[in-house]
Amino acid sequence: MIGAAEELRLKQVLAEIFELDPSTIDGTTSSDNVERWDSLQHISMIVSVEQEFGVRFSEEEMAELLNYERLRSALASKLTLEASSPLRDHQPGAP
Amino acid sequence: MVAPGGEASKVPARVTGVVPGDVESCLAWVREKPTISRYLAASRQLRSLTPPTWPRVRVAVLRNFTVEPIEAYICVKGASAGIAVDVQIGGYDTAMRDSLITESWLFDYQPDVVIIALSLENLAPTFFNRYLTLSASQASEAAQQAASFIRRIVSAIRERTTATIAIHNFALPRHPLEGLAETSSMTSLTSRIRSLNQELVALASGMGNVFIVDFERIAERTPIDVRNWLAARAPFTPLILQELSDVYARIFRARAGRSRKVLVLDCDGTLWGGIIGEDHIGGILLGEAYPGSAYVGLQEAALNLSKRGVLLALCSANNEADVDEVLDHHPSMVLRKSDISARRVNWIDKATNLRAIASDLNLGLDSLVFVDDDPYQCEMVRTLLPTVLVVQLPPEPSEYRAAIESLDCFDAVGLTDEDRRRVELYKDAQAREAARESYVSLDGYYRSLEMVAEVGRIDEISATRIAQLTQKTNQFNLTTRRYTAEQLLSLARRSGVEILSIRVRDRFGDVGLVGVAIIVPGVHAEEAEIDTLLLSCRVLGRGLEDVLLYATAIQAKEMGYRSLRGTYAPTARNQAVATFYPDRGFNGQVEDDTSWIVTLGQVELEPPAWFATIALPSNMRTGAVTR
Repeated sequence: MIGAAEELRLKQVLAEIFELDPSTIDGTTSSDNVERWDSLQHISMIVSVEQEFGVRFSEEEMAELLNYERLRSALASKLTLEASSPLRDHQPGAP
Repeated sequence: MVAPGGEASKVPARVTGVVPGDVESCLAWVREKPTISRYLAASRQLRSLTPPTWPRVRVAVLRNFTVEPIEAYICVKGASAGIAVDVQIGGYDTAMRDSLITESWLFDYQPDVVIIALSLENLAPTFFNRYLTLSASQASEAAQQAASFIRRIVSAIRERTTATIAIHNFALPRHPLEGLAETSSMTSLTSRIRSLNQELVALASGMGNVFIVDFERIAERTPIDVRNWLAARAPFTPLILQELSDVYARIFRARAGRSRKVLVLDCDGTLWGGIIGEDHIGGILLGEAYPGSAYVGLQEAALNLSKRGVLLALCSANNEADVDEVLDHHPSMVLRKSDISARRVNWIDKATNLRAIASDLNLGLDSLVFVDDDPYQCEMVRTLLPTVLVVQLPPEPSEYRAAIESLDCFDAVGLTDEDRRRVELYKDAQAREAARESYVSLDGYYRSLEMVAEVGRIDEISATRIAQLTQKTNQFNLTTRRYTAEQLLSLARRSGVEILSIRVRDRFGDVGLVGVAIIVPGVHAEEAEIDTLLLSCRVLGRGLEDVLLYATAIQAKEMGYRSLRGTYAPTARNQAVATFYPDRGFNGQVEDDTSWIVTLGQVELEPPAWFATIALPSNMRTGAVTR
């Protein structure tokens, strides 16, 4: 699950990386329509989201998270997994 | 001009409304959560917030892998140090071309600092990835090629710029290829990379103004991102980006003359445990047994710093006699009176005392680092004197030594013998100060010093010291132009240019090379411009500036100039010299309100009468004046 607060934080990270107004980010936001969303900034964005939420995306996921919707749902499934297994080791890169 | 990679399509910045709107809160916002995204957003914001008074440093990065996020980190760390940094990143794997071709962007850009960040894995893939398939001679040849690749780049850059060059050394393999032999054999990959790194050290130490960025150590502490390395040749993790940019910031600070010069220490609870006024000399904690050993450690760290040219000072609330007793008689004291260049041991508040210490040493408050264990004192100094760097000691005494040793604010570009002697010089200054009190008139005092001033022209040997003075002098500096030794030597070769320096000694000792004047052709025919006129703060108030101006005028006349123009470029630190030229008979402010002119021969520019000897370079017409 991903709550409204988490979603806001996610939008904030994207806004910081891609120079966007966070309120304009929605399900349609993708690397196709954001000028700054190139392969270099993509990596910075992924790592920033990992830092922000203390999660780590798989290598397979990394290449696929090219729009907001996929990013949101991949993050949601990780946060849900975390919440349901409180004894899991702390993720690397957690702040 | 060949453009560096990735710069073609810049999107105009859009307001994100998420980053705070002033420098301090912007930096605090990044510190609060140091994500790559915050660094990026803050670096864009800072571009429009940077005060025009900040020193600017232009940085070029030559690389053979993906370094991009480093740009944002460099800008933010630069801003934390009060420096506006411009960054230009070269094309992917074009380092050799960037430094060798005639019309390279690199030289058009006129960088102050060039960072050379090369991955050995990209530079010599077979060597790095399939090392054991190589014969010993092939391996050695590959290592030599890598070394000579860097040597060529560095010497090409050095030939054409005076920039500070920072070379990344190479990371060692994460895991041993040959098991136990990896660290035991001279021919293992680890051993070869270590000796390659050693060659880079030799390259740096054989050339002025070249530094090694210890990437080997950074990568050992915090591994690279293998996933992003394989996917995009982007190895930097957020931690590596932070550590690297911290090292770069040291270089920028040194380059911009923003290094600190004095370590001011509290006594009770800092130099020793306990309170001398209550516990007395036998009761304070200092010596071989813990926790006394931790205080010895802090003192040893301070002593090492003083040998690097950092001045030590004491600022504590005590009876002076109690502190004297410890300094003179405690068997475990590492620091003695002779190591201390200034002190305020009294019951006056520390802010006032720190101001007095700064003025004793003729330095600005922004040269001071203040160390205290008491949070209250630290907070007071932080509030009242925000430009003093305050180090509040950590809670455990065992961490004290590291708190001093980890300070990264004392770097200077091109450490000279003069740095090492500075500590001695200030001690001489204290003796001079004592003498001053016993003389009635200042004039009589100056005469009693038996001062000898010696003016010389720049040469290879004095260039480093002269450059250092231009980098570090802030108060008595009319134009505050910073130069490297290379820039000065090439400037001095131009026609119509002369670079003079002044040395002084007196009966207390040799003060060394302490002043600089640079004459360049002015905008009008037969007019000389004083590009630079500066004097080290430790010789202010002796009239040496008038000797320097006197020599400058003679030199200009000798070179065929008829008039001399002096300019005052105001900074936050040099108000004291705002009226230097008009005070000396320069008149007719020209074109703007900070330039004055004097016709040579019309106004008497006489040196003060109290100098015992003033020696000018042998071929200056007037020769030596001996009184």
